[in-house]
Amino acid sequence: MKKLLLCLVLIGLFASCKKEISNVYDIAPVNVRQSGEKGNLKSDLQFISIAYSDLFGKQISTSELNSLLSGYKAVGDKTLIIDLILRNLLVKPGIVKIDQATMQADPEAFIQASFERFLVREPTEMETWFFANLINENNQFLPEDIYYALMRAEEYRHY
Amino acid sequence: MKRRDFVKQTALTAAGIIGMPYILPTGRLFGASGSRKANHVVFCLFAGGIRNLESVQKGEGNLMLGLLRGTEAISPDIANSIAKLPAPLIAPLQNSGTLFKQFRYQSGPSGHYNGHTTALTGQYTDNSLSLLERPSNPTIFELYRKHSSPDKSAMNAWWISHTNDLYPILNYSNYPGYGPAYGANQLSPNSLFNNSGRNTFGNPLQHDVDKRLGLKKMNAFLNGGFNAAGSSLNSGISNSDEDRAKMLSFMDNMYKQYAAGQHADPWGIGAQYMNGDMRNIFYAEKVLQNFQPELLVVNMFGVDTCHANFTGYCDALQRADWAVNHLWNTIQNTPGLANDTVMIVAPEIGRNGSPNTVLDANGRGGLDHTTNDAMSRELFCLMIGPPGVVQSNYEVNQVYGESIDIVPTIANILGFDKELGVSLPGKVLEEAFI
Repeated sequence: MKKLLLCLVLIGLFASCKKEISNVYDIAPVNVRQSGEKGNLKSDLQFISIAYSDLFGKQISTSELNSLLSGYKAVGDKTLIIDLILRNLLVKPGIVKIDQATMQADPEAFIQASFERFLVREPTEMETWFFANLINENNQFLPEDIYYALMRAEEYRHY
Repeated sequence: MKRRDFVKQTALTAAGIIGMPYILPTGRLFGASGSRKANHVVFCLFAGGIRNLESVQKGEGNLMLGLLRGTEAISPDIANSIAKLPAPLIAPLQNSGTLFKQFRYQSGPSGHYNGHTTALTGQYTDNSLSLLERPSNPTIFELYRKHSSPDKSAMNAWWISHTNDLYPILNYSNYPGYGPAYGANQLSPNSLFNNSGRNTFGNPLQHDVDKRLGLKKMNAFLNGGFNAAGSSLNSGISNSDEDRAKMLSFMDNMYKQYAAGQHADPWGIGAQYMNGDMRNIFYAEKVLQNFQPELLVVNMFGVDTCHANFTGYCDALQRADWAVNHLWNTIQNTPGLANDTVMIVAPEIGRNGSPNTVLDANGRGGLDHTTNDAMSRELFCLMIGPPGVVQSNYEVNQVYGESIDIVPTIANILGFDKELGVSLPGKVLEEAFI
């Protein structure tokens, strides 16, 4: 009888024990992806907001977003006005960029960082070679020119 | 070859040549058969809601010296509250055109958006019209670009909207087989060419020829390797790279002129008189001068202040009238457009016969535009054009013509009314033509 009682107590103890769940709130690592995995088109509002965040490293303010949207709605050819938006953002003070000399000193590293920043993926070897080659060929290219090229790409319109 | 075979083959070849349709690069069998009355049409939507009582009937005096003959004095109680504009640049436009004094907006809700949609599609609307959706019937821009032969680029069709709210989406419809591929270049200059717009858009990153070439290579390389998995860019209407470059250059010039103060009082009448309607017409003129499009539609809206300010409505009416007079003068002084343009001027809706309870500073009641009020359906229409095409100095005083007649009339002027792929309920306003 004592043994039976002991068994019941032990079963009760084990049954009442639960593993403690600990919630961890931190930033999950983002894995860079291949371009082929982007199948969703950004809305125009998303596009403008994301472009601003990518360039300035902060969220766009409501007044700046309204100014951009006002012009955006004023022109029917959206490709044209988006191009104008990008080119105007790229000359505004405050964009996060490296200087031209650093880009020219190590174009591969610059390409790597720029692809990850704007296209959220690593460049392929071919892409690294292609862009590095163009940077080496034309020493007039500024970092913002390369940013512009990446942001004009169809891939940048998708997520 | 035997004589009999020779004759047979010759006859078959001849029959084949006669019977074989001409297949155009556009895929259509025949070119446009209609002859053109003119090569350019400007449709000025004198919009915002105007009663015939204050316009062609001159109930408050002649508030439209730019369009209408006559020197009837303005009602004394409002005369001192409206702007003293200089005399219009040229003689009243009715002298050079046909004035329909009993035009009608015959059917559908008498809202501004309904009126605009009707004027631009040639089809009346009903209560199912959504302000957030594009028209369900093809617009005049799409009809023109799809059926005018040879095919026309978007640089030939412009929609200059007074605001960037609601109305921009009238540049093309959702109708199957039409849509953005045939839409108009839409521009809302008042939302673009101002201080905020200049700060936001007036100083873009520039690229020289070498850089442009390199950027083009990068773009082709990146896009060539990207598979969008079936989704397409929501880019609205599109222009060729060459046309986009022209448009960017145009916008750049506008910002430079704006920055230099040249747009503050561009007509030399006093900057204080330049309201939104006048500015919209001013930029429409710039588009006409720069691109000489075959079809341009521009609207105004200032008179809608009438809901709460009758005197302000009369003031806006005379400013809009002054602007239209200026517009026609510009057309007649623009190479490529002069003597080859027909301009049509008409409000989209009227206003109620009786005032509401909102009184302005002069004690005048405001005017709404209610669907079941007959006066909100009474309009005027002025058509003006080259001598030999449009009847000059001619008035049509009986009830004749409707809003839905404007689209077929434009199609007739530009010679594609027989080519339309959709059925239009309206008629050509033949009465105006010689």
